[in-house]
Amino acid sequence: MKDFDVARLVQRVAVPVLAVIFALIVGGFLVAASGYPPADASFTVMQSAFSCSPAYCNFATVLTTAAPLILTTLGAILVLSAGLFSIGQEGQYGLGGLAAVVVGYAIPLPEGLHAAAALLAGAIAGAAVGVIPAVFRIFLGANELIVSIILNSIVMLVLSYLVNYPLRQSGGSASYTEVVDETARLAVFDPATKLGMNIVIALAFVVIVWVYLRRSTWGYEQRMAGAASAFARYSGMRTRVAVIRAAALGGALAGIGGGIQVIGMNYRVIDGFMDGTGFNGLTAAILGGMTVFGGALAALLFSAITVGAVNGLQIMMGIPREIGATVLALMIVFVSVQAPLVERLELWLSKKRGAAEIARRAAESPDASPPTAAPPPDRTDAASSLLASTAAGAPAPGLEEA
Amino acid sequence: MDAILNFFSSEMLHSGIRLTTPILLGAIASALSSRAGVLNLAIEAKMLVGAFVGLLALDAGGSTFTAILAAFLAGAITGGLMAGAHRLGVDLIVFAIGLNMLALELSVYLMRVLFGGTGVWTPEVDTLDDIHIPFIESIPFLGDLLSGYNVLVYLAFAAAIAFTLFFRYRPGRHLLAIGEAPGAAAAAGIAVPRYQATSLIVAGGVAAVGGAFLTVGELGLFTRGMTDGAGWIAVTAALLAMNRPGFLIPASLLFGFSDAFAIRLQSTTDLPQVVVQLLPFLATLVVLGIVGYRATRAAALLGMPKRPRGAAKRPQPATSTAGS
Repeated sequence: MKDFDVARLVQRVAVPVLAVIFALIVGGFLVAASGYPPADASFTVMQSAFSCSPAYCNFATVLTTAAPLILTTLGAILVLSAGLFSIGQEGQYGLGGLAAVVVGYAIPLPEGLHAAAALLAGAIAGAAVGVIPAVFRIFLGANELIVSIILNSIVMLVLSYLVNYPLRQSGGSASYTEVVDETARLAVFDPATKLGMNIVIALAFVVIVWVYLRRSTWGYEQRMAGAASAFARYSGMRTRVAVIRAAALGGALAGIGGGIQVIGMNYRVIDGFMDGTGFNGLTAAILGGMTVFGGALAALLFSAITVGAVNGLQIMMGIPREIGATVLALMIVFVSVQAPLVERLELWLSKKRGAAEIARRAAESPDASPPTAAPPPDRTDAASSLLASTAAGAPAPGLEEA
Repeated sequence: MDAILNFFSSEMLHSGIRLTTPILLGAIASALSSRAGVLNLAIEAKMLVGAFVGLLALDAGGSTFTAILAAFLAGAITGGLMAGAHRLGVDLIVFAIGLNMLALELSVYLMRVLFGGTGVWTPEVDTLDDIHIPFIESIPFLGDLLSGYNVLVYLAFAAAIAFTLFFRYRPGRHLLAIGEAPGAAAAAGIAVPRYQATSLIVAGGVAAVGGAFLTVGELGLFTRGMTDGAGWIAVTAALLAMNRPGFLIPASLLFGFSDAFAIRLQSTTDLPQVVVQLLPFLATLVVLGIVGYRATRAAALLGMPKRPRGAAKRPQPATSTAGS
């Protein structure tokens, strides 16, 4: 049984890694097409993503970029693990950021409390956007995915309107809001890159979300509502409440993501604030296999590749920075293709294991009659073929050599 | 009265029809995929592919016709990739998210590698000519509405009508059956996988022509994310039309004209254009709610088991293995 678990773990890890390697190979060809040696390019990406000099710390930039991304990733994981395929993180992020900036400049509060209030406002705004697809799905039977896509467009339009008209900084030359008060800003360790409390908050939420999903009743309920809703309802869980709760909490996380971007980095919201951080959070969640730590790691990888592509490839080597995001997109495509392939591989392996088990049992039992029974049909399910042949009391001839 | 007539200037009519065209082509692609039982979210990717490849072919010395053909083929190949993934049992939503991102980034990367580091690529090419219909052109209102567009505009509307007619014939009926109940369709002897693959490939081509309309038909330039979400709007428009071929034109016109109206509103008045732009999206939400509610009610009336609420039902019907 131990071998079995190890083999499974190896498969689970090895195949996504293969997808990543494939993406890197294709990316290498694309770099080669631009006339640079791919090995140099990938070395430059790593170097410029993880290097740190006293003057400017690239890795700090990676962490600041990752902070809001980790939160939108967590938001996506929370919603998706409840079986609700909502891709509205972009809208939640946008409205969350806007709510945080309004609290940040319009309401005077003492330091510390002010930042917390701004983030809370972001969380509430994000939750309000996040809960709509769940309500549409549960009470109206509408497809939550579609609703969340439309909501993204709606929030984008509303945000653009608010930033251009009612919330526009008076006398401002471009469309952006007022700047948040000093009291509302997050503490910064490194002024050059704005690395500060933002990454601390993001990492704290990684732990909190893991505890919530894996160690709390609510988390268990929402996971069961997603993975086995019939079981969940039969055992008396209120799945509808669990799903709506998951949507609200997921939205709140993405909203906080917008919040820390605003009070930790930008200090104001511009028209075009929704730059894809929410969408990238969804992709990081997918790349991370919908697990909390995997998702957080994928978000870090995401920012490292993006920052490395800008600071390393574009500025130092002159290769267009889009190659970074292209490789990430290839990773998503390959990971999605690999999922059914893994399923087939596992099926094939379990078939082989079943056959080996049959052979072993046949060797153990001495009263094995000659193989008169017809070979079991080519069932994919190893357990059922095991059952069939043991019932016949004979080893299946075709399977013995396996 | 004069002010109102002034507001609906010929310019606004023109821009409304032009803005509708890519949305309509994308909506046809989206509805065709949906009818084959596949939620196709990669319309945006296919439009970008079409926009980029179309301009590439035009710049390489091809005629506008070959440029559009190249765009169609490139989109069809993208659709073919989706069809292959569908056959394997890949989660097409995740796949589409990856494709959208890939098309967005790869097109800009290739543009900058091939044509230098600027953000906009403006090759010296001739875009499609406008067609002026001799007699109709001189009629006041109708002339503006019907005449003076390039061939792709007429093609888009013709495609929508052809799509409607298609559903009156046997293959269209088969497609309808596949979308409603793939299992039953397979049992009735319809080659479900083949229909689905063909639909995805054709949808890819049609959406790509919608993208080519922007580059080959109108602007003659390419820039990052130049479809500007038209693919997503197209998906929304198809939903507003409830994926019914006959409703695609009005739904797309609503989205196209709300944009044109908003632009006009901004240039002539101080009123915020957001209200007008929001309208079609809100209408779609209402339609989705009503359609969903009625489907749930109908299922209840037929005595079917209640849909497990809050259950883990993926939006994409599991039709990949049906019939194979």
